[in-house]
Amino acid sequence: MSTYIELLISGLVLGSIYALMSVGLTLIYGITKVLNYAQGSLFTLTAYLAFVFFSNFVSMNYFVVFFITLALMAVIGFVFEKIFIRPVRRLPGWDFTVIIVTLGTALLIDNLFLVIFGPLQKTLPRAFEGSLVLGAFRITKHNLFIIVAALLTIVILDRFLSKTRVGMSMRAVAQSSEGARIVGLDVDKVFGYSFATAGVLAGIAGILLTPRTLIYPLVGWPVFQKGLVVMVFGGLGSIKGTLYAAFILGMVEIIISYVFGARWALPVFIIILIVVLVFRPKGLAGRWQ
Amino acid sequence: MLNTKNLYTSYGELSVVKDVNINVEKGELISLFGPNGHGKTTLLKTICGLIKPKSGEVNFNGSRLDRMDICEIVERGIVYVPEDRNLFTEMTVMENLIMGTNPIRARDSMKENLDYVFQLFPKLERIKDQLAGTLSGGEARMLTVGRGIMSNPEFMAIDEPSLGLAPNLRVEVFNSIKEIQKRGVSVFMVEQSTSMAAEIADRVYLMEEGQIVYEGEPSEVFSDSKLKQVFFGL
Repeated sequence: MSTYIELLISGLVLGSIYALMSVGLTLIYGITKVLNYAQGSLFTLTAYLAFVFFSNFVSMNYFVVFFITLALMAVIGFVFEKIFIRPVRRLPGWDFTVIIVTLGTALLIDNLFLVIFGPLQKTLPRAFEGSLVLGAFRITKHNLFIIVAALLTIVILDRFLSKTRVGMSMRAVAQSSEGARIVGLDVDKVFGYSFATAGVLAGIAGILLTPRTLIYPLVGWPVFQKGLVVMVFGGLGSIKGTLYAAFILGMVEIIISYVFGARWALPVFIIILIVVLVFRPKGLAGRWQ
Repeated sequence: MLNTKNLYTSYGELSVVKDVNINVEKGELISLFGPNGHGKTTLLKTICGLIKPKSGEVNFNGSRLDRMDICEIVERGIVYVPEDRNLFTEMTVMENLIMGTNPIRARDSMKENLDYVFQLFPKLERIKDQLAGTLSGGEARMLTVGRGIMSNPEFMAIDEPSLGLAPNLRVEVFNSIKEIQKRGVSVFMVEQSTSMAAEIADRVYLMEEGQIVYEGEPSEVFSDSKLKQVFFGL
């Protein structure tokens, strides 16, 4: 029984990471119609930034590093949109061009990691060391922190989107770009805010997961690939659908890994992606546009 | 208050608005008539900054609107009320109205304008928590006008307010537009062939093939059978 509970917890941990990654992707897609292939590289960038902080300021509190890194990711996300996306959006046929631009940027960033940090893996400290034993099962404190932090992030994001003027502006642009211009919203700025928010989400995922996986230049790619499957499975542009899909696929991955081995997880994800595209291209939430 | 000088707008090589000169005084209600596809909406969108003109000027209280971006134009008190609604369909009626207060100039008078919108369209208050995407045509039209009022405008450009509405709702919408004018807001309204839009107007324009071909007072139109035929097909 305890094995199943531990599998369930592992599924929740993975689901939490996929939720953060894919909600960022779907937020950007829903608002800007950009499929951001560089989201995985932003995930990796956060891990390296945190690594630099922890290496140079050993005495710095974990949570101080956590929030400084996230603040930097918000700025980086905003600047990333301004430098790489905004000029492309003004070109004819931009929706295809922007895919190449984000993919190219991802490759550039990943190779910079290789040049700066080398191919050897780095480590990040965990938020909390040790485990909690609750009756018949145990959970590491860091895993518990991942689940709590992810859920808290999702609640804060929901409040941010529904209650703040910036969040409402993001939803407004997603629903009617023309309507947003009519009420005088600066659509360019709103696009920047979306990338800043997605940068923070990728950042939280990066800081939370890399203490488990170690840091290397391409560590963001598997998470990005799975985040992409989650996003399509959930329904492009739908945050609620994406959240459901993240936790469902997190559980699926754990079960597949337990029964057949971890190397089967990605192939199964790709099969799920193909099946979804064939039988329900609108995804769980049915919002394909 | 607002005028255009030799205004031209085109889509690529196709000229849609040609050498248009109009003027709207403070607190005036103007109706612009014309057949479908003759450039009325394009003129409205050009005035409000949604489309950049090819040449000519749009002046508002001494400033050149045609040189500003739309955020700045809205901030100056110009609002476009679109014919095709352009509402935020997955937001509530209330959230749509709040989005109307995006200009900084509208923030201080938000409560006052909200009360006014609910006084003008009491139904909107009853359905304030309903998603805009679930509204009927008439309700959506009221919300579009209400969202425009929330921006605390000095000049409202309203595109075909009666389009697709039942006759009783048309009366309600036109009465509300007259009320908005009484508040000191200048209204420039586009219509195809609704005589009521002329009845409530101070002046009327007729636009054909992108050009203004007639300017006058509604009484002149109603007293001339030829003009009545041209304006309303009567």
